[in-house]
Amino acid sequence: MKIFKSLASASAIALVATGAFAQDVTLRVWDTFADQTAGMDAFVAAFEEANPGIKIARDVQSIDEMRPVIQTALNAGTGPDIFYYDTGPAFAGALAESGLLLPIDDMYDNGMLDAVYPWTRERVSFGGATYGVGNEVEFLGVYYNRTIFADLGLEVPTTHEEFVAVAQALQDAGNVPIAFGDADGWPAFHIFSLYANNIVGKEGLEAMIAGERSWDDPKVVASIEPFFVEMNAAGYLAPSVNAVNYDDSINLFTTGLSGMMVTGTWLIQSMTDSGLDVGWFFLPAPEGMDTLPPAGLGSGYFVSAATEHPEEAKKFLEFMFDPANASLWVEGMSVVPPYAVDTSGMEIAPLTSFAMDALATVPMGYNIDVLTPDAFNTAMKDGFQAVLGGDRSSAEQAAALAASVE
Amino acid sequence: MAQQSRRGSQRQKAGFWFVLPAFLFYVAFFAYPFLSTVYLSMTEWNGIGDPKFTGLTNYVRLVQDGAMWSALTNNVIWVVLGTAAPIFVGLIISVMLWTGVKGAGVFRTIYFLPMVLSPVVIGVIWNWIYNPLFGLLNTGLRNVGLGKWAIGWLGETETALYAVLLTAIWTYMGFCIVVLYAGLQKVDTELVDAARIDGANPWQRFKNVIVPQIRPVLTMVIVYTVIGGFNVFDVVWVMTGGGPNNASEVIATYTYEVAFQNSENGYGATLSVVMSFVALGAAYLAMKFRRAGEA
Repeated sequence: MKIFKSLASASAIALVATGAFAQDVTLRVWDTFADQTAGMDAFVAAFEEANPGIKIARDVQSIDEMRPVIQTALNAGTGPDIFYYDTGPAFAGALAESGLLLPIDDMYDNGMLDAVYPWTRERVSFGGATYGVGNEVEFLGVYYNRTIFADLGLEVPTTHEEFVAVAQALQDAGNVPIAFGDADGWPAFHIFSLYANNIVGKEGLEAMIAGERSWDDPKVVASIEPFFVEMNAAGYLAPSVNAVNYDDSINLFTTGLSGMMVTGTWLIQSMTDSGLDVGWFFLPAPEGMDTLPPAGLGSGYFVSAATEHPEEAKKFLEFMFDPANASLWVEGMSVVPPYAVDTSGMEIAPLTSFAMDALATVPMGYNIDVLTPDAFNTAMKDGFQAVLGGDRSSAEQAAALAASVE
Repeated sequence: MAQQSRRGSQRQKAGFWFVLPAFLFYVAFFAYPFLSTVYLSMTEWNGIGDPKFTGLTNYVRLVQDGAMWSALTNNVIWVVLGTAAPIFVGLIISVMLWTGVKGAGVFRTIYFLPMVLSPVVIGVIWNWIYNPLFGLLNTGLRNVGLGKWAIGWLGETETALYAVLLTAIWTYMGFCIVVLYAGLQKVDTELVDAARIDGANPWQRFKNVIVPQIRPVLTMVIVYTVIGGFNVFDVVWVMTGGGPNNASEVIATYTYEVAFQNSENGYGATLSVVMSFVALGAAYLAMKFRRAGEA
């Protein structure tokens, strides 16, 4: 009997010593990487391997579903420890205002996120505190079909006037100059951002977004007029522009029916996979003005204020945004992380490489819709469709934008 | 006497226990949510945190909300055309099938097929048909020399609502045919024959003999369609999202935008409450007309 007791005691001591009794911490993580789920699973596996004792229970949500679901879950106290969500004031900002997010200023102050671009921290800071880490850095510009440009002897435009001339040349050649349709409403947001950054300028936009200056401004009117009125009237956009959705716009471009497409860097992988020889240029400002491409964040990681494992959650974020793991984002998921990446040695498309370099070297402006309230975005959605449909003038749309935030 | 009374009381108790589960289900899944929605309709709430009671402010806003009236007008157009067209066409086709067309069962199945498809699938398919770049409709129009009519049906403010409505009518017509056809099975054919012998022409037989006999079924279809017309959401949302520039917006899509895209859950609840009462009122009127017709 004594022998059994001794054996049992020895076994227990051995188990404790080897940590077999230690309780694993499981972090519940919700993200929206449905299309890159294998890449994110690889990320999670790498984290678990580097952090024994912390397990990740990952749940993928669609972007459309995440908003109502996360609000309900956090309110009910049943939400995840960490989640991936829109960074705008109407999204993460509203959750922060309601005390549902954990401030993580200490991570930035303690050097855990040293590599992250400072401007991305600003986008996830609300009311003087930082609540997350912005990710999927994106900027807007113009993809163009190099083959068509070469065949027609066209050069990459450097001013808006040259851009219009290129569009005219494409149209003369029987091409749809710009693959742009606005059935979804939101593609117009990006066009407006591009022109407003070039024409209103960074400081002016900062003041308008902060509510210190009205959107009912001649420069805003001048930002709406060139594309939504003049180029639309000239037939440079997709025919029946309000009936063509974003996917059809992509099809127009990738089937070679259109010479240019104005959109964001999130399409780099699709463009690369299309088999076309695709180039990129920043939408040029009118003569005498500076070109300022809008940049923004796709989403960001946030920690629930109700998490029982804040330290483990921070470890996860630190791992995700450690530049040593950049290849997991860039090569594994075609996602641009929020820090400078050394792409040498990485197997990535030239366009991706260009985007990484541009982020580190080109001054960037604001992608407006992720910084403005819902009412403003609704006024953009409905209003730009009205302008494209000829039912509203640029001046009326500028006034409507101003009224939406008054 | 005392024994009878005790038995009655026992029956009442047994009845109570039989009714209780259904009653609790009703309270939990209808009465409580409905009353909560009525309460939320009198609050300002972004879906997070605690609602702030604002009394009738949302109702005052609703009366002054031009977008709401525009959406309600579209609902009324939807109810009128979306009720009249499928029932009118459905009635004609169901009578034709009832009179003994060869292969009636096959036709019934074909007509009913759209009803078994998900509204989302139907919306996507009809989006392809209407697509201005490669859609079947515009391609067909161009091929027969009507290229001028090839427009962006879902992108023009003048046509978007009607294009979506046509899709809904196509979908719903099969339901009307099947239900009305079932109602026609109870029509007394001897009365139809008697009317024929009395010299009634086909239209007179249809109007004065057949329709009165299927009036209960007809009323049910009308009430169902009217309520559906005020609640319509899915097909509009999938095909146009209420656009362009709100041209095809209906109350349900507007409510969704307000509540879940603009995070104005309080005002969204106000719209829901009003929409419920409008639908109930319309259904009540339809039933009242039916009773008046029967009297």
